[in-house]
Amino acid sequence: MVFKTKDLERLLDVYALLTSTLDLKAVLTEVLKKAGTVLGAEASNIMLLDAAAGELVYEVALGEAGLRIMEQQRLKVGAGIAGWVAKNLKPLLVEDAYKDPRFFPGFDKKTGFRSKSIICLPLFAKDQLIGVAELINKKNGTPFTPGDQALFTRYCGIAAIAIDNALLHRKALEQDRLQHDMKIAEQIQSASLPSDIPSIRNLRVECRSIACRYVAGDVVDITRLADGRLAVLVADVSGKGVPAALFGAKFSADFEYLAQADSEGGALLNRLNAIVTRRSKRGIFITAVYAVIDPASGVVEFVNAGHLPPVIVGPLPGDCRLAGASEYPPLGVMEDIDYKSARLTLAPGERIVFMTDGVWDAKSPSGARLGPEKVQEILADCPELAVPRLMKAIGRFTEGQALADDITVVGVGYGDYEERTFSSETKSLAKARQFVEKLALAHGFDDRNTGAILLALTEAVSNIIKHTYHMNPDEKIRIGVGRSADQFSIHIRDWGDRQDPGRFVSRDLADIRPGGLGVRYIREVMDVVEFDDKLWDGNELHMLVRGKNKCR
Amino acid sequence: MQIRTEVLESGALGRTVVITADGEVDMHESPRLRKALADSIGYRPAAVVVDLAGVTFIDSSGVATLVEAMKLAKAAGVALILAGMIDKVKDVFALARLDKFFRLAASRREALGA
Repeated sequence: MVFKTKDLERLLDVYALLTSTLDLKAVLTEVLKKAGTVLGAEASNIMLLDAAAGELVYEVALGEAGLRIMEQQRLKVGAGIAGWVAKNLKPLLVEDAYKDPRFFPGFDKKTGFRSKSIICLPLFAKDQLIGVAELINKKNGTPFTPGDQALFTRYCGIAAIAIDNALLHRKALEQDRLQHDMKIAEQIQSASLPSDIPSIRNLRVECRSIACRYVAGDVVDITRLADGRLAVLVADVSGKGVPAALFGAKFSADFEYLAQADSEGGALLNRLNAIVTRRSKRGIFITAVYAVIDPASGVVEFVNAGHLPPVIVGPLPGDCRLAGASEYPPLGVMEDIDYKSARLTLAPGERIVFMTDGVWDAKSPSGARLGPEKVQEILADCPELAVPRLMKAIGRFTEGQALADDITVVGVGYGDYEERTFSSETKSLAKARQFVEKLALAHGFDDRNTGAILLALTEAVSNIIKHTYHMNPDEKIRIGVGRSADQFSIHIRDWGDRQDPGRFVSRDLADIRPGGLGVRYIREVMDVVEFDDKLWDGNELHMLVRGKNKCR
Repeated sequence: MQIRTEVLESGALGRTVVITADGEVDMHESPRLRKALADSIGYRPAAVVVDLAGVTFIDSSGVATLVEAMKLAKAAGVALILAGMIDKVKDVFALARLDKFFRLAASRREALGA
């Protein structure tokens, strides 16, 4: 086929449009305009395929009847000339529409236009039909020729690229929007996690939660009951992602409401089970463990509905026992179950750890599973730091790869423990020292060793004020002090931006200069210093001194 | 923290500024000590004696303040002496191996008589 040079130049002009705009209508209008001019067409249109509906949708229509054609909006695949082309994936050149049985005159009747000669071509992208393009009637009254069809085919090639680009762009925007929505959902869910855990004397409470896909199906609730006891709920909705998170959110709200009325475990789980069983669709269920812990006696009353058994570690490294396997099925499976609380007593220095099975199921890059034995070994290694060490171990084990399941861990340590919250002003340093000094002296440290501990404390809190909060005095810092027979521990929590643990590397002492000594002091004074960056909001520094009075 | 500054026109050291600090020196308090030290060294006496007998606590910001003052004094040809540190304050210098870097005196009297 031979084209005129002028026609090819016009074709090149249209190509340039492809790189200058992503506005699909603008490109298609220009393609049809140029093709219409070159080929002397009275009317033209491009329809896109709506594969799900099995219909063609008018995207652009030019010429006298263009607007009225657009009003028709849709055409069934298989109906009329364009429908035939879409169905058979073949071009059609029709000399006289009214003599062709495939022609559907309904449009002419509605628009008042009279179709005569038609070129109709299928549009393809990556070998898939994406639409149909039509030229209708030559202005000079003669029918379209095979030469016209060949030239129009070239124009339609451009239209197909433009449509493909635009669809890809729309898809990318849609994905961006979805990702953005998921990020917001993640933030909303994070905000509902217990961040500022109630301070209860003799109980050190820690909570960590990681979603494997933006939002988690794990549910956690930590509340101080009116009688001063601590109530902990850790639950895992079957499935993952948005459906599990939505089901979990509703469950969490029901729990909060019902727990206010009656916090006794058996009664509470019976009522929750009735609700979940009624609401459950597609076999969705919830494993849950609910515990009420008395800070005065260490007595734990708990109900386990098909959940992992809580692990109890301490007081000494290596001490580990299980709180007994679940005797009841998960919530949402059967309605007529009578859940009843079991009871155990924590000894001072013991820590009970509740977790979801995402912890056991954490996978290494080679596919190995962390498993219950390893988890218990990590937890028992240093009972005081069981939760942060477990989270670190999971991070190391998975090597930062996507988690197989959501992870939630709640640890409650029973024993001599107190905490206070201070503002992030520099004048809080003296107040923090007063709080810890009293406890260090009561623990049996002499004046000099107490001084060394206060030095480490001051350095750590100064670091937070300066580096984490950038001297903003309006933030808060929580200091917790735990005491056991041979150990004094300080836990310093902030709610600032995540800090780099590398900052806790001390400097060379041969380097005599002002500043940079704080970390050195902390490491010199404390036996164990661990920086915890696995919280979802903020950081925590754990410092332990073993034995007593090591200074000369 | 309380800070008192006095100038002794004569003595074994020559014209001497004595800075007496009482209380705790931490990030909240050390800027005032830093200013007192810089002002005293800027006065170009023969010596500056920092009497720390009343200091019950010092942290790295306090130590850094004194390290900076030591460097400033050295450059200005002023002798800087830290006097009267109690054991737990001295420990903070020892932990950073800085006790050898400073000229120390057991008391203000010893510093001025030195």
